[in-house]
Amino acid sequence: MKRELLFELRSIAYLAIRDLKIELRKKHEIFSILTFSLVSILVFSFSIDPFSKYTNEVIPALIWFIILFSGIFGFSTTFTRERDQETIDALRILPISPQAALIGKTLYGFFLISIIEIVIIPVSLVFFNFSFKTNLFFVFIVFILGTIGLSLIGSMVSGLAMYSESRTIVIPMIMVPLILPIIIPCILLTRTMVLINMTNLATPEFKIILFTLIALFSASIILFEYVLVD
Amino acid sequence: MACVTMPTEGNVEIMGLNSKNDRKKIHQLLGYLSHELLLYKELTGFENLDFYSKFYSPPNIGWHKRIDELLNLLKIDNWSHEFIRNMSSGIQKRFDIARTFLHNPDLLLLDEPFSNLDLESQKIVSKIIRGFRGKKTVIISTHNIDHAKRLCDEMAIFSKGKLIRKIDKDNLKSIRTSRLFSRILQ
Repeated sequence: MKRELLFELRSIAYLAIRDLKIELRKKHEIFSILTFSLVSILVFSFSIDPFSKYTNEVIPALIWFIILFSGIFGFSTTFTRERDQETIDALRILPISPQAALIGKTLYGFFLISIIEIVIIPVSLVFFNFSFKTNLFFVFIVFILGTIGLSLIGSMVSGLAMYSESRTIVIPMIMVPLILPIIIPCILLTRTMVLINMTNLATPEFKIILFTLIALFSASIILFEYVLVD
Repeated sequence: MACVTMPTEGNVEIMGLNSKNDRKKIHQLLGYLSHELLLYKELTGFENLDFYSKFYSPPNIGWHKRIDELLNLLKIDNWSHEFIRNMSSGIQKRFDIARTFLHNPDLLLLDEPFSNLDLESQKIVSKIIRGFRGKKTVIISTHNIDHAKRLCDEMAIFSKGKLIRKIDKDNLKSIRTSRLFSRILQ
């Protein structure tokens, strides 16, 4: 049992590393997402008055909005690329569970979005002229959880939509309503962390994020076998 | 049979394993060559084989030696560090065949193994398949009856998803391809 679990964990890591290797070798997708994110920050920075008392309330929503759309761009190709290059059967013939394939893709998505966040968060701190008043560890936790949610939902939806001809419309249509229970609490928590010094992270918003992540993870694990194999 | 999709009805038992419930175990024992290339074009030939090797138990000689052995056997060792996208379809197919044989599976399912292959490659692949005689079970799906006659011990002819004829080892060599075709058409 323990050996089997270790094998699944190793398989997940190999799948994620392979996808990252391919992504970093092609580069054009990650660069187009980064370009979109940086241009968005630049455009928004012109319309925001840094001296307005409402600025700090709006900025968290803008940051998460950029992360969400970057995710949609990134995840629209997670499984569809495998389908387009006819390598989706390669995932099916590997001696791994469909769930390991999903978690591998989620891990890849997590790294991809994290790379983008590592670039855009410092840039937005400069362009939007704001700072976090809370312990940076709390900020880190909230962004990590938001990114996990985005990666999980993005991978699952990309798998669901890979056979659809109109997947460019289908993916955001399914993904956005599913991600809202994670993104909205993330925005509220980030706003709080920009406005005040939070001493306790166990807020209702944080509990909503955790509960939604557990529910979505369980549902994805149960359903993904039908998505990949059927 | 390759457990790539769920059966719409019925069940296939492979080496005592159920195709619905034991997919992971079956894929450990099975080598599947699809008519589509199951290689990643942005990775090199060696990287592709190295990636697949990580999902199986290592052979006694170690993975790198096993990969080198297959590359030499299929005469593609000079191409190992080239990206799959830069290779001709024949060389790509040889790498895909190397992927199929990589983990030394007990059962091989080869879907049109000779498509896209030049004459030299066809000879190499035929020789490898003949080498499996008596050691492994090889199931070849092909439209080329001559290839099947040369390589197989038994032949089953399917039309519209139904088995229409089964030819055993004794009758396989004596039967004429043209006569077989005319019977199928009837």
